[in-house]
Amino acid sequence: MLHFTLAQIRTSLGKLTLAGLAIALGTAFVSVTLIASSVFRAAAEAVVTASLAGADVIVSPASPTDDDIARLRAVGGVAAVDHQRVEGLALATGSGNYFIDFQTLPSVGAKPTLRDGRLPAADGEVAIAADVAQAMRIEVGDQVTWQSWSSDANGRFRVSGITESGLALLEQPPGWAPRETLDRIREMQGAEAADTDRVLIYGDGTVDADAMAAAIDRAFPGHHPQTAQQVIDSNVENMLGNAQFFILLGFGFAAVAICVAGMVISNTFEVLVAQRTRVLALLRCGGATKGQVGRTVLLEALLLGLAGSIAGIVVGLALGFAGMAWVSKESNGLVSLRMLHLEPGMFLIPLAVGVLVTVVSAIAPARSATRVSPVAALRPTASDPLRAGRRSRLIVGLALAVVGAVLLLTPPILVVAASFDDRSRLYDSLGWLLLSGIAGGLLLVGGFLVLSVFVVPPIVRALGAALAVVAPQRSRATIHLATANAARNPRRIAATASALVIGVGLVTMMATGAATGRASLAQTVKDDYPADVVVEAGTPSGITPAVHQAVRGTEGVRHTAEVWILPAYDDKAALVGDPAALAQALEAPDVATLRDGHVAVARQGGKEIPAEVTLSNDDGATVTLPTQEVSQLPVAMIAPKAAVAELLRDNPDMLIADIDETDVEGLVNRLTDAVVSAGGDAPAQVQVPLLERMEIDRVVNALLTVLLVLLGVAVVIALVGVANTLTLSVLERRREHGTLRSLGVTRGQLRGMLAVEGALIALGGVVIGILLGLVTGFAGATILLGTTTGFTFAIHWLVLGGTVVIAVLAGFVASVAPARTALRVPVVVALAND
Amino acid sequence: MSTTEPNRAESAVVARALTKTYGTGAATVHALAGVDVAIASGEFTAIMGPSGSGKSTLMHLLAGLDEPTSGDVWLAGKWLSQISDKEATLLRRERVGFVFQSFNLLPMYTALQNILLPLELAGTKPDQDWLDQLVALLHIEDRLTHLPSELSGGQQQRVAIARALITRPDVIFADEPTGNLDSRSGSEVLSFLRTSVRELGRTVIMVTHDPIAAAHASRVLLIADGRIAGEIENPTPEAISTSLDMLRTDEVA
Repeated sequence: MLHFTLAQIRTSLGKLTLAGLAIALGTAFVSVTLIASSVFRAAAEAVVTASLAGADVIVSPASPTDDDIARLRAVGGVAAVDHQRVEGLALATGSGNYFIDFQTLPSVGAKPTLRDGRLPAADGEVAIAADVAQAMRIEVGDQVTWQSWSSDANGRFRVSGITESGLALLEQPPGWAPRETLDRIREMQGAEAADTDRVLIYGDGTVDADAMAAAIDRAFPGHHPQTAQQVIDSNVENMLGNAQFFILLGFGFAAVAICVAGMVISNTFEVLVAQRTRVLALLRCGGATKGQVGRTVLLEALLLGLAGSIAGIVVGLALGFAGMAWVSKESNGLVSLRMLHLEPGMFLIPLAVGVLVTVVSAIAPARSATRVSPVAALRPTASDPLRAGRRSRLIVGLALAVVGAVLLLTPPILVVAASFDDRSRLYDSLGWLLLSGIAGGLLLVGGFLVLSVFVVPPIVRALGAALAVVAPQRSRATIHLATANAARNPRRIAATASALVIGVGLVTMMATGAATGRASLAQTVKDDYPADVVVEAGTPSGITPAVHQAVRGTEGVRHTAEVWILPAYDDKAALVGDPAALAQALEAPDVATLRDGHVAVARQGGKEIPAEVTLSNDDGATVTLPTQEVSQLPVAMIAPKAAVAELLRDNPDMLIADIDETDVEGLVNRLTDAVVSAGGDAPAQVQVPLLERMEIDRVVNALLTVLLVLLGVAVVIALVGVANTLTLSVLERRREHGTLRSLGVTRGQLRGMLAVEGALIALGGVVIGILLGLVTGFAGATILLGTTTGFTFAIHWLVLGGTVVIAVLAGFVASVAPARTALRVPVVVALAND
Repeated sequence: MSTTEPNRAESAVVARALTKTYGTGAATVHALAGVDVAIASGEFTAIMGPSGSGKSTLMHLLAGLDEPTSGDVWLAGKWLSQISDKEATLLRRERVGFVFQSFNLLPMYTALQNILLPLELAGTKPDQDWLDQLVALLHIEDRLTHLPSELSGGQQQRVAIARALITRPDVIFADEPTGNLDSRSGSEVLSFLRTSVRELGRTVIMVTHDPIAAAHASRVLLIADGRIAGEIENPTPEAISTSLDMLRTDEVA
């Protein structure tokens, strides 16, 4: 039967190509994930190697005395010893603190590569890596403020140079400082000698590293000297351990891509078998057994799986080498392409997965093939199999979906409905809620897949009907035909759309989760710091008029308000100031409605607000004021300055400002400079919650982008499935298209018909995917974040809109090649009876 | 190219020196080797001939479904060589009807939707009286909501005839319309085609190899080896069979 299978593959090559592409994409994903850990290992080795500055033996952590160093130098085989100080310091900027390990420059090994300026030489000079400098907006010659971790010590550095960032994995590149500077800072901190240093020991070449380490251990017991290789090995293992999560995540997404590919392949074979009914029946007439007929299909799947997987592995390898080339470039040649460690598993696992998934996906179609009776050869060409699903399918699907929906939605409902106090108790059972949600989500999606035969065609018909209503009169016939064609074969369209549902559903779920997380974090920041910018006094005497003047005069500051803080009740404090100024600075217009002599109070968690509030100052003086409920109050309480003037000192505790958000970072720099120059020795601190919110946006967007790229593969495979289905449909409907052409369908109309059909199938899948994704995303986000105070459900409209647009466009694009095929057949040939 | 305009009131379709060849060199096949023919308006004409005689090719060229190697076709007031593919398509949509051997109804459309398809494509509203008249004449009133798969062959072909007539076309081309039908359904279909000519004033051109079917026409064109080989006015099945036998004898000789 091999000859028959090969002949079938030859005649169906075009139809199999797209299915092969699906499996190639899936296996490439698996292959890349496997190779990625090897690339990561090479990169990790490069990073660790670079940090050792060519030393043969390392003692770390250490805090050696000068005597210790002298003793080390005396050990046999030791040529040089470099006591490298390592001191962690925080560099402060308006947007937050950057924690950097400052090291002394290696005295023996290679110096860091400079990008700009020169290496630090004089006391108080430092060099920092380009990445950090860019993030902090620092240039050569700038001054930066440093702050000790462990004490109040602080001071300023002058940045003398900016070094190349090199490769950094999961950590900040180090900064560089002269020895006397780090020694001086240690004295200022006053703590006992830090145990963070390293001793780099260089051999003279007479003794090997192991022997040298052993000799050092004897001369200098208790400090565990390690050879360079030992340090590299253990650090690399550590780094890989940290990266394990990402590798696992990669496998998760690869699994999704493979599953979607499986659905596309299954669909392809189902259609192929339906098309070959006549040939298969002839085989049966000619004496082929059921088993032989089924095996031809499975054999075809095996060959397709092999070809697709090999293509995928080649792509995966190419990407792996591309990754290595990048690492090699970034590490300035420390890593070479030859270091890509290839194991048999990297080839065998994707191959096995690809072949297995392809063959398993073809089992159901193969069973359909065995059901072709020999008589079918004698009947005229069978018309469309218009059977939908059976009743039992409906019942099972509904049961799964309902149980899934209940399990999925109960936890978020509990969380949303729970009162403020109950939430902490709910938080304790988070594991169970999450388990219920995940199980429910899987059951719901499973239920959908079972029900898709019933669900997808009506949705596609509804979309087509809606499109026909908005479309111009002359396109309606085309849309009507396209809708009928799209929905005519429930099983095929259900399978095609389902593949898309999985991909789009996951994209939507992730995007919803990310958007919710971002909005919730931003809300938390806003709850803590309701203003864009807060300037806190550096001294107990408060914000001086000079500082206020400087802030108000900074370009980009729109409104400022003076703020005093007075304790009230329940650990809550009231913001005191001029209501009109506060309304502007907080961007909360309702604050201006505060009546004289009242305290504005926000309603929280359904609690009754007290009738009056007593405010007090540090001296024990108190004022009691009636309350007024103000809607959308960004803080717990606001009191008018005039009513509590007797409790306030002259200078305000802080300033809050509303700023122009077009160039926040530039404004923060100008503001910091202005405040520093106005503030003398103890300048006020500029805090920018807005930057924090922007930083959250940036991090969440970066994470989301990675997730979307990974999930995008699944969506692409599913869109390939749409193209595949259209191609097969066109081949099947040759005579129909001939009829339509003879009845007066123009070439343009036929093209349009197929384009609309492709778009409708894609759109159907996307709509269902988005609905399922929103439900699961909502449930997941609510379970995980619903108990936090700032929880805000949000939808990522950009991603959802983008997905819809991409799907519709892809549906159109998918129809181009099939339409060309359809139009290439002359009308009379298409009409001929086969 | 053709200089004299045929009279549209007299002739529905005219062919001038029509040839169609396939392949080149030694493998050249002359499907049509120069056909001049005029089909009168309001007539039921049958084109007959043995297999491979070129009768289907002639019909495809007359209907503008295929392009001739040389020569020209005058259809519904236009020379086909002078109009674009799109214009020819619109001409078919508005002025030509088709009835096929295997009915060619769209499987996902109901009988009524199939009948109205040409109008839907043109974006025009159906003439309800005309639709009612057709449906009553063809006895498919109670079948309109059915899908083709729920109809018998004869019923499907009657729906197809209604689809061909709905635009009141100048010409209806019927390609072996009885080929997939039993004899009773076949003769029903033929009498409907004749009714379309006599009572509805249409022009029908039917390709067939069945002498009994051809006998329903008022004129039979005989084709052999890509040429018009004869013509029978007011034919009987016997006369047709005799002529066909003569053609076959010629072939053998």
